Amino acid sequence: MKRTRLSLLAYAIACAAGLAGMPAFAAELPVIKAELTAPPHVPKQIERKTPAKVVVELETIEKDMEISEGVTYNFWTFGGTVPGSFIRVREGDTVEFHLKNAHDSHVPHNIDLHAVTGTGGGAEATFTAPGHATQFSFKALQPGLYVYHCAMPPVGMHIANGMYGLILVEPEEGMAKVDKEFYVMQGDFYTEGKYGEAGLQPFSLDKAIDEHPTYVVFNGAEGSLTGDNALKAEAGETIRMFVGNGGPNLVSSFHIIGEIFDKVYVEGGSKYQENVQTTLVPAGGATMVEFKADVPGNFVLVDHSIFRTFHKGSLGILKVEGEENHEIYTGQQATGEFAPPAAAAGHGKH
Amino acid sequence: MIRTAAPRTLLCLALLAALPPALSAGQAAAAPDQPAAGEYLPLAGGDFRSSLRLDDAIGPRHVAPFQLMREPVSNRQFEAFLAKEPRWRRDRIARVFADNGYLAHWASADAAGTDEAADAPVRHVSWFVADAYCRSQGARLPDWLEWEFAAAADATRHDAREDRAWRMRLVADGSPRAIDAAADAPANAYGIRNLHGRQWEWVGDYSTLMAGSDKRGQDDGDRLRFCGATALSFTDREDYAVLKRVALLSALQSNATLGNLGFRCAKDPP
Repeated sequence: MKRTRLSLLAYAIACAAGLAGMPAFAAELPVIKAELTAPPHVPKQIERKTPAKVVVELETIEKDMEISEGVTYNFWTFGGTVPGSFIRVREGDTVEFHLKNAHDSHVPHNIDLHAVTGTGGGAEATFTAPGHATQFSFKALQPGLYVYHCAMPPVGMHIANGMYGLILVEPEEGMAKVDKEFYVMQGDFYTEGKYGEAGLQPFSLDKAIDEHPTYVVFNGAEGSLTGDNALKAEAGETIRMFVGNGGPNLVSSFHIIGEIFDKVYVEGGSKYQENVQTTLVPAGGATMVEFKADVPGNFVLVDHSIFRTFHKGSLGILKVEGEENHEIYTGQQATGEFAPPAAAAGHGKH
Repeated sequence: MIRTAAPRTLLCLALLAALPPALSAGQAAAAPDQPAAGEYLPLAGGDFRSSLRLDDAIGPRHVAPFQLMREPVSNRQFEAFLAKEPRWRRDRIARVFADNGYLAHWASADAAGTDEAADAPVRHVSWFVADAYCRSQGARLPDWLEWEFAAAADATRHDAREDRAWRMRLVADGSPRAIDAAADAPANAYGIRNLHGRQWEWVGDYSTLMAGSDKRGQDDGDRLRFCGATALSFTDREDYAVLKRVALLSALQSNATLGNLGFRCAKDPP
């Protein structure tokens, strides 16, 4: 008797509390359904010069996917991919955000978008049980490239399982046109089995707490940006990469072997640095890099904390095709022996 | 699917209006000799260190002796309950007591059908319905503390939580990879089965699990829901299995149903 009354009252109170936060956004804005893209793709650049109400519909999905050849992992995702779907809006837009949690999810999820000004970045408003849906709205006040992630307890585990992605808020004046845009996001993963150990690998809480990842990868899997999956461009094209880092633990020393970034929008903000070799991408942070692919070749995306690249998977390829330009880069011009040190008299002497 | 403000208000009002009938229904339902009743096993209780720090209490809390069902309530048992109390059938229940998912996976309103094993734990049931079921048995839902007490045991130890390796495996609770999801998973040291299975279980006082008392709407907020403040009310911040369970339960309203949420009943010793 007493138990029932207590719970019913708690329920009623919770219902009443839920009324307080209903938004009152202006309704005159044109309504646009957001184009969402799976990595490495990016929604097309925004042509609009005026604000809109942008409706974003994202679903959290838990699914087994390959993290490395022959190795699978139960990823938790936004939209079925790691990183989650790319969201692109314009400064001044009102974003109506719908979060669905798949019926076969085993835990609740939510979303904290770093582009949101407001409690929990939306996490509080999107506490979503399996088979349920939630909604909230926010105004994109400040331009920039922002990380979003799940903030459901245990937060670290949700992020470690792949629940992160990027949302771009374009400045009112728009962004310079480029020929190619790519979406690349690094993450560290912790499995009970060693690197390369086959089969479905469970999450290792111990390794996560110790910050000893088994895998450090771009776009959720070793090989997601190599071979047939390599990023592709033509020599002479301008390229913009939206580079995020989901963590949960490591910061990334992002570098492309054989390229110099013309511009780096440091930490995804409004100011850029020029002529950069390696840029730091914090966990829960992002950066935009721009460069021209001057010459053809395979350019290698790495976390220049370099053991991660060769032993944990953080390696991607940008394959640039086109005419060689020997004024910029010749390739090997000569190879051969050079003259030995004069006389062999020096053995054992100093 | 989305509740906007107005329907939500109506729901709350409807619920408040339904409060007295719900209570009287509960009383009328008390019938101790349910033929399809599950088997109850006795637990002696005692001092117990909860993983949740409730009401700023430090140190162990006392668990009074109680009895707990050996298995979660099954589809077969739940069919028997509906035959006896048909007002809880999915086609007759009020939405305030169970959402649209309530037993929606069953073949018909009174039978699980062949896609769902008769002995498998029932799922897609709300707190209200689980509460009514237990009352119909002259029982009740276990409190969180009772559930946690029973679930601290592995196959050989009454409190196996110091065994870190075992505890880490509980991180898969509520999923097909849970340790008790295996067909040959042994009973725990109390003889109780499937506490760490592929399904979560309702507890009677689930709505009070948020960081002490129910803090919803108060100025210190829902500590559980925010990034960076999640471990404040846990005595062991590495106990992710408990953290996940509490996060799930606290996401729910009492009429919610999930595909991986069932229940079992408890009662006081005779």
